[in-house]
Amino acid sequence: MKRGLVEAAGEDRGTYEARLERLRERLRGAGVSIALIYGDVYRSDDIAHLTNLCIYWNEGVVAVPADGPPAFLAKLSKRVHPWMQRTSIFTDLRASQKLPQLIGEYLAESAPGAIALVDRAWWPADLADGVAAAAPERTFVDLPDAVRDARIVLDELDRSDLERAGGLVAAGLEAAATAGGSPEERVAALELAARGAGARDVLASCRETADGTAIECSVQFANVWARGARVERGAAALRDALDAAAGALRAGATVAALQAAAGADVATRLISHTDLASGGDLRPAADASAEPLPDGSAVVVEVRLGDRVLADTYVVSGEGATPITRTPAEVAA
Amino acid sequence: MSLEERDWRWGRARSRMADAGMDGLLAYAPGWRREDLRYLADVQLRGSFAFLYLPFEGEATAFVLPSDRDAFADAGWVQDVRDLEPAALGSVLARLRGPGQPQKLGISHSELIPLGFRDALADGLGGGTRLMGATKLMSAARMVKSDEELARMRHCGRITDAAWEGLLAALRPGVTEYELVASTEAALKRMGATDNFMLIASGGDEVRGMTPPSERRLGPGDMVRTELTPQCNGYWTQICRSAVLGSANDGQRASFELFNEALEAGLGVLRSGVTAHDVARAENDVFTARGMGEYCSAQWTRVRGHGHGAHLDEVPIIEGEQTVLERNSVVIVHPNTFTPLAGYHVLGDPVVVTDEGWEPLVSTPRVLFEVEI
Repeated sequence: MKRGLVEAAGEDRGTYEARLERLRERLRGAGVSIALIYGDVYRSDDIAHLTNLCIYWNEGVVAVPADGPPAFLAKLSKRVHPWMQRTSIFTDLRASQKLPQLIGEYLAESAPGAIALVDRAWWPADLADGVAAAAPERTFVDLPDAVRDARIVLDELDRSDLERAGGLVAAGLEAAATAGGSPEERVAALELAARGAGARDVLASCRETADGTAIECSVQFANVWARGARVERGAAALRDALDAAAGALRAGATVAALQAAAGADVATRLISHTDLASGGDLRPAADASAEPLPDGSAVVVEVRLGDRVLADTYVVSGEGATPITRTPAEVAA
Repeated sequence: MSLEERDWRWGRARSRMADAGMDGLLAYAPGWRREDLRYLADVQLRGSFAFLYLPFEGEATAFVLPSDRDAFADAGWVQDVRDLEPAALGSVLARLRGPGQPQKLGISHSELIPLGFRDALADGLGGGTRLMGATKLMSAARMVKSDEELARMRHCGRITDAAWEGLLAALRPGVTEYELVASTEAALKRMGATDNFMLIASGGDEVRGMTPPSERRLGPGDMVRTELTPQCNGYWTQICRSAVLGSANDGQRASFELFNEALEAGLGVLRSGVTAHDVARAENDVFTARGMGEYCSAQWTRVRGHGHGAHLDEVPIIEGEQTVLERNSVVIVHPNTFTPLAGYHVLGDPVVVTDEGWEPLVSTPRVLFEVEI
């Protein structure tokens, strides 16, 4: 479950409304009446991006009408609705253990027209079938990446949160390195450094390898993730490869160009910040290899040599890329 | 764990497969519900999804992302480990099709399997295989724990106790809820826990329930409530405790007395052979006798307890469920709810069900903790 800091939308409500309106424009352009976005505790960053809602456990569906405020439909009890209203932009929150029927009832109240299941292939099959059965008069269409596409280029709020997430990755990795001791002690130090400074989620691992301790972590601050990885020894070749790849990183570059820059000796991987909750598992590398990187996007560049891995998160611009997960000492080195 | 343990677990699954007429079981492990595959393979997973195929006879086959290959090699329970191709589940279908293709394939966590995967399976297996849900089958198989599982849960209970001590040590005026969780998380990770489920709430009698932590700073008189649930070596144990920063007020003491009496009533009837709801009824009767019966309803609370094991919230559910408790099942009994006495209050202990009663998994005293300022 997500057990880190969850703050209210507060002064950023306007940003969330702007993000919702961008989605609504896409819906209207596609002739869709309502978008349904599925999320569970493991994978709900699209929902968080639009609404600041933290699905801290279980699963739910956000309904975004083409003309109207969003609603959150979930099995989570009504008892948590006051918290959800305080921390998100939702005013319409509904709960039922029979989620397909709950969604069907919502659709019955809503404007006619086609319903988009965002990223339909990743919807639980039973839920998708159940929703279709609960609203048999509706036409359902797939709208892949409808929210993810809009997250690729960071807006001001995402950029700010990304910088914070990057800082927490750097602080966590430094704390783990400084702590020394067993992998468990290092992970503990990393967790304290990151969560103690407001991380919403931390995915950390530490293992002993032939080249000393290898530490990896992904940290979420608010609704944005950053990632970094370090190895205790044998990092020089990896650092050279990573720096070479980062040197080729700029708006318009492709993964193939970064792989070429890093060299054939290492395995180079690029992960969009939008996919870090799942470590890029839902995006096979082939999907991204030919796509030029947009200006203002954020990516993780990871280089791997056997058991050793080095990774940093970068913000991409036309002039190059800015690392956001390095400590001041690492930057100075 | 030993191969004997593996065989015992596979036997429990296969026994239920036989009852259901299944000749194959496919355990699906999405990022947030990996327990069935972990149970069958004794591995910790990192990838976003994985599958394990357990035929009614013969060896199992796992299908994993690169990040999980080493885990299977380390555990040694499953030798046949294949790369998972998410796009079309090619490796899964290659294993299932042909001679020995199951006629009735149970899928655990079928309710979570994505459309893309489900359609790939259905299309790839064709009319020769009927797909069925097997989530309840696996939940039932996992309910009774082996000696090796109980040993792990006793170890996790000790870590749970120590994590609670870590929380108490971090309690001071001015600390934020998220800092408190961070300290606790660090404490349990230091002791080897690999995951945690931790809801928290702080304040007075206005508190209605627990959530992820906020920026709220604790002050004198605040009661901190938490469900602290580390996972160690694949097994979860939960403790529910409340602590006051400073001296407890009369309402907080009265609340504790009520909740402790309810918990003791639940534990007083708990043994193998009773139903899960018998335990819930005993807890709720205490509230009813004190004129607080309404606070046992769904408006105020979820359940009066639940099972523990490879998943933190598994059968039996202690509220409205007629499941008969079996020896070596593990439950937490917790009458957590809101009352006007002191707001939301939590108190609960995980126990192993025995024929005579129960064995505690934690040793943290069952008191209302008061932390000196």
